[in-house]
Amino acid sequence: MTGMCLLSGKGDYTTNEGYRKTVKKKIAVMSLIIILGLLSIAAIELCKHVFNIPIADYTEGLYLGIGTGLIACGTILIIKQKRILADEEKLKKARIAESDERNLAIANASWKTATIALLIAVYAEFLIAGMSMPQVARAAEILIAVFFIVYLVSYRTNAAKM
Amino acid sequence: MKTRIQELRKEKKITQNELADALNVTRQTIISLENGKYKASLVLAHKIAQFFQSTVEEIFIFEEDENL
Repeated sequence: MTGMCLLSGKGDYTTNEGYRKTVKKKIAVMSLIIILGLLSIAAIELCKHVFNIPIADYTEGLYLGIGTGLIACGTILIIKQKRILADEEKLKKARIAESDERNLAIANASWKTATIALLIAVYAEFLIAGMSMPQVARAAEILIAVFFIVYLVSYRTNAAKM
Repeated sequence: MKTRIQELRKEKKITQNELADALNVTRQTIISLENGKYKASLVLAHKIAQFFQSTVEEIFIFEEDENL
């Protein structure tokens, strides 16, 4: 599953040197994942201890869990990328796996399936929870609107390029 | 679509790994191409043809409905 990467497909994959820069950019993105994790934990701690907002145990656990998960995930991915940078053979292997056209085709098909599943899940959330909780319906509405706006803009941008 | 990649590769006595290395793809892609599970892009088809010093039409055998 070396080619299974959400961030693959963009960057320089022609030479190891070019790919080295791509890996460094990926490390920057992974640092951002760690920051998002820290923000999740900071948000719940600020609400609880600074703003004295009562937080349900479930919500607190959820924020802490997601925050810790993001930090762990980002750290593991950074370690993995650093190991790749340190070994020329691993670098070549990763470069080929990430630029391999079959792997990219598999990733694109998987994205498509996952997106459809996500849309169905959001609709189910809107239908089931939306009636009793208007905020949930509003959140689902915003998600769907953002999705279709981004899709349309992205489609037009890509159409102009091809 | 069928391909003659496996036949040509064996004629040249090279492994799937060696071919994958030469084409800058994974070994799994070579396996899928040989099995006819995956259709190569135009660029990859061109590289394969160049590698075997042949033409795309000689390596990739198109089905009836894939022709004009």
